[in-house]
Amino acid sequence: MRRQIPLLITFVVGVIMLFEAFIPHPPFDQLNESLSITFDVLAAFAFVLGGGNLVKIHLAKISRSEPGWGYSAVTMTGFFAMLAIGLFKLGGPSGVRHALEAEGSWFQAAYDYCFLPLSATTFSLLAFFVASASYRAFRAKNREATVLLIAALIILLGRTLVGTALTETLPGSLELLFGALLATLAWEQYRSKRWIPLSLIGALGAFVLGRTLYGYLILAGGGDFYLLTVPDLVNWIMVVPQLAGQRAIMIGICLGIISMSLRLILGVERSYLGSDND
Amino acid sequence: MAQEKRPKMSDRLQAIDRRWIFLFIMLAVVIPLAFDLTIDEVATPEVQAIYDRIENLPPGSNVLLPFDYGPESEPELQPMADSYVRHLGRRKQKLFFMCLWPTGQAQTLKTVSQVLEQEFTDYSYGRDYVMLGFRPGGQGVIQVVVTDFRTLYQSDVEGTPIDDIPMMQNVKGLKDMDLILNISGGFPGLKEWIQFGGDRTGVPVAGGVTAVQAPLLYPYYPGQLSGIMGGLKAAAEYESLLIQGYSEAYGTDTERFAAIRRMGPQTLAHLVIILFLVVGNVAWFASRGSSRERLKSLEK
Repeated sequence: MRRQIPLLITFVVGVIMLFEAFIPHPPFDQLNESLSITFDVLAAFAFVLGGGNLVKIHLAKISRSEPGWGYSAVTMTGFFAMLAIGLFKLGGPSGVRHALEAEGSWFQAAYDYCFLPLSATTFSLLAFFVASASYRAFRAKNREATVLLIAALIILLGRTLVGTALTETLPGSLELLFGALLATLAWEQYRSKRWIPLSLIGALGAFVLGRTLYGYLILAGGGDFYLLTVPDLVNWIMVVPQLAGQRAIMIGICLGIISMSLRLILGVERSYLGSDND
Repeated sequence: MAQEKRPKMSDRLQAIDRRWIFLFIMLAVVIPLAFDLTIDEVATPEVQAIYDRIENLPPGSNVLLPFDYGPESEPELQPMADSYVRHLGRRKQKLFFMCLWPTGQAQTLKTVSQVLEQEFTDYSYGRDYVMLGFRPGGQGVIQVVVTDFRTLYQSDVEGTPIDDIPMMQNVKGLKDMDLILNISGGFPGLKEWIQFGGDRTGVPVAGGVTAVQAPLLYPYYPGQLSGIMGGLKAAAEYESLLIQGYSEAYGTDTERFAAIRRMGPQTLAHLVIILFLVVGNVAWFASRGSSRERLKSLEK
């Protein structure tokens, strides 16, 4: 019975939620709302459970004087201080009906003068570590890493006005850069005597450079001609290759979730019940 | 005694002390702040779409503003929150603030006290804006408020019963909103508002997220997401649009627009990172070339 009842609850709730997605009418929509409220109530209890767990772990660490127990003491001091300030609404208007964040409340002061600067500082440190880590690890070690590095450089450049300024003052610079890259690749193919890749790369390079030169002629004549800009390239990276990758990952995750949900609803997956010895 | 051979420049660059990198990043941030370097941005289509969506809303429309973030992402997201409220205030819309993050309430208060109460003195609490506050449950809260706010929100943050708030009289659930404008620093956030709020009700959803989150949300744009703002740059673009669109109110005053002011340090920091990436790779290629030569000479 210890296993059958939870399995039955999972099956019934799962089926109701599944049907509600396809039949958003009574009684399924009402049942969905009731179950969502139950979930919200349980979520509120999770805060108590989380707090209790935090206290248990850190108090044990302090009592055993384990390495780093001082940090646990700081955590516990902060935890109990905020709990007391919040529960007794110190400094602000008391009573259940008044907001914790009311003017003059210690809770808001602790948020503004302790939590906010501490969180912002910790997060800001990321900039330094990202710069250091990218300097050491972001190397064009192989073909995939090179593509990633070039995309990252373009995105970084496009996120600043320098990217816009670069292609505005030097129109066609991206095409020329791409042409130079193709020329280098073509030279390598020539040295290796690989004629088919050479002809393909050479044709592409000739097209890019020819189109750019033609664009210059049109622009010199006072006409209008589209030449690639860094912001356009950034936009293309975001909405074509990046989006395709994201969609593929999302579809994969969704298929995984569907399969896992079906296993849970049908009682095939039972690991969430714990072992029989528990 | 044999003199120890000095390491090559490329090897020295490879093994550079990371404190030098930290120093350059610090200077890249501090110098533009000290000289108040501001940069005007040109809006991308995703940002322009949000601006246009708000411009085209008739005055008095109901706009839900869930602020789901905390102080760690405040530098990126607070300018977005302030800009949305500024724009909506100019368009005389009704604002419904709520949050799925416990820290969201304090962030809401910040925008309300620093923008709404300072710049829109004609806005009255309960008539033009209401703060519903935080409720635990993440996407579960969205699922409930789809049909009825009152199921979870019997009172606002001040403890006033919902039915005593004038602007809540004609509002039952999410379907009564004309736009959901979310600002999110993670989970639950914009993705959940699309999946459980916008898709179920047909109410348009738009919003702003941190720069690292933005790529994850592009698959929803422009179908399920009316517009998306990713990171500080997008916030600066929106501020530039506001300055252009409401020049009579803001003119050349960039003092109140935090994102435009913060773009200076971000731009310079990005350039420093680009420089380090290039230097790092050049040094790596150079040292790789020299080690190959050394290997060849040993083989000989």
